[in-house]
Amino acid sequence: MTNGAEIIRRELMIRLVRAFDAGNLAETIDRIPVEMRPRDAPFSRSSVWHDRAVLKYRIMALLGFSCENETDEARTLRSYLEEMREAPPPRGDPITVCSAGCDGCRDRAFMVTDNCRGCFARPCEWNCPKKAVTVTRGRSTIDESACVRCGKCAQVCPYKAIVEVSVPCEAACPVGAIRKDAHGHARIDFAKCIFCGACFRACPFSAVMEKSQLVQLLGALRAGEKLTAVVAPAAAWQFPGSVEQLFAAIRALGFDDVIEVARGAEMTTEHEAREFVERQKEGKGIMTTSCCPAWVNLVRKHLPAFLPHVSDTPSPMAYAARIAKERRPDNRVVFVGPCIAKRDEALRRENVDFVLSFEELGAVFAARKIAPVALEPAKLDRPAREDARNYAKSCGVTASVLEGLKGELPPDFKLDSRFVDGLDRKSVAMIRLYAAGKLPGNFLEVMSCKGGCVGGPCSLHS
Amino acid sequence: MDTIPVKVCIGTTCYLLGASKLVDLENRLPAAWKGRVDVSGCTCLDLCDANGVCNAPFVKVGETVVPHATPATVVAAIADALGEPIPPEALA
Ligand code: SF4
Ligand code: SF4
Ligand code: FES
Repeated sequence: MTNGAEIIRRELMIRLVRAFDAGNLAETIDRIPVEMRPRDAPFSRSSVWHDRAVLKYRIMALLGFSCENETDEARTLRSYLEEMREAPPPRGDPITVCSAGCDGCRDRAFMVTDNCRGCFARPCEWNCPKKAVTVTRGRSTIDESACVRCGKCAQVCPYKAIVEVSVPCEAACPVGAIRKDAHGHARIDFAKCIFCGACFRACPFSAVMEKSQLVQLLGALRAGEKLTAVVAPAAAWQFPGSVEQLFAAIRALGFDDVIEVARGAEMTTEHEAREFVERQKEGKGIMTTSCCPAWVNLVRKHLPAFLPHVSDTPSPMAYAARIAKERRPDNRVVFVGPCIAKRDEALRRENVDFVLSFEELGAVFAARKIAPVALEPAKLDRPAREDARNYAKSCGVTASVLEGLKGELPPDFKLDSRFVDGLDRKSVAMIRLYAAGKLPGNFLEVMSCKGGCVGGPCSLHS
Repeated sequence: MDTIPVKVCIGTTCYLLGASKLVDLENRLPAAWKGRVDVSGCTCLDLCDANGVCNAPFVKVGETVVPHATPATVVAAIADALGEPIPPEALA
């Protein structure tokens, strides 16, 4: 499905990179919203001025600032750029809600639409457990104060006349971390947030934004800094062309070295398999994967008692960053991937200096008219193993670890591996049962994104 | 009858702004259009410069440019070019 909110976000990124490349970002940054929404042009919100205001906050997030922290509404974007020259904005929580963009969607409710014919059968009225529905003068009405939002009426209407409306971000969040505040705008409780990106994806207004390092990174490249890109396995499914062509394109941006994170995944696999065997020998019970940072955040913030069951093995990104430093010790490392939670994980890894999303990488290619598919493929020292590249797909991790396990376990040992494909309220409830020891299994793989990292929030195919 | 050339731009700008949803266009076309429509890709139609970016992705159906192309609008443009109604199976 084509998603207009996503397109505006990406168009904005492309324009920002173009302005950066033209060397007049400071002079033109405050014009970008006006250029995108000139007077008399069609607008998406209440007016061009509203659109422009929203675009301004989006740019703020693209510069790496939290919209929540704005204290002076009159501040120009240029002044933020100048602030960045002194010191990069603090990274901290990787997402921000641009409240000017938030529609303050109406609370979850069941609404009767014009499809209602006030029929004779009136199953809505008969089947409502709280007697909240009445049909009078040919029309069904729901008494909101009595309604318990069970949805029975919507299920039984033969005309599909009753619809459910909900707050998309709230409905999507697996841990109840995003809620409307007193002003009716969404706000994230960062003590609860696991940075899964579900709200980022779900908001039809794209009001949840990533705090980007894009402009800082472009600055570092322009200054001739030596950077190594470590590229997540999901890369293989992003742009037209091969991984080798994508690597050639990344080099064309001025990166000094490019490494597949899948090489790190090979090391994760080996280590994790050994760890699993050890733990089983010691009778430590179920072990879960640790490569998905949103999953690890879920345990840390919501199921701390389960933490000892999470594998201690470093993630593929951590290993890949190690390889990067071994190859070129003085280079700074840029993780390129589809994931918001990796921005948070990177803060805890001394070796990862920047995180760039595939969406942002695509915007740089677009602004510079680089099409990976048209390039001569780069030569890889050694392509990563196929099973390691499949880390990007759900079940890939388990399959990978199993491969490494062969022959290491006693013949009577039975591997009982379980798998959670995507975090939502339902799967979180199930995970609570695993954590309470109420479900069988000795190996649990959890991926926060359905289908694995390939379907990550900043994947081009999410 | 002449075949109608359909050029889908998969240059990075178009790709990022929606052409990623057009890569399987050929498979969506109805069997009856086989041989009458010639779908190919290209890496930039040079329409995305300056303010053009806000109209991407672009597809060219014959000489007609389809801005903001989606599978549905491209199918409609092809039907137009062929002078036929939109086959419902192409929108499934
Ligand atoms: S989905 Fe949430 S963040 Fe988006 S507009 Fe609605 S309330 Fe605001
Ligand atoms: S946990 Fe996920 S859905 Fe909830 S607020 Fe955080 S990023 Fe958004
Ligand atoms: S990338 Fe499609 S017109 Fe330039």
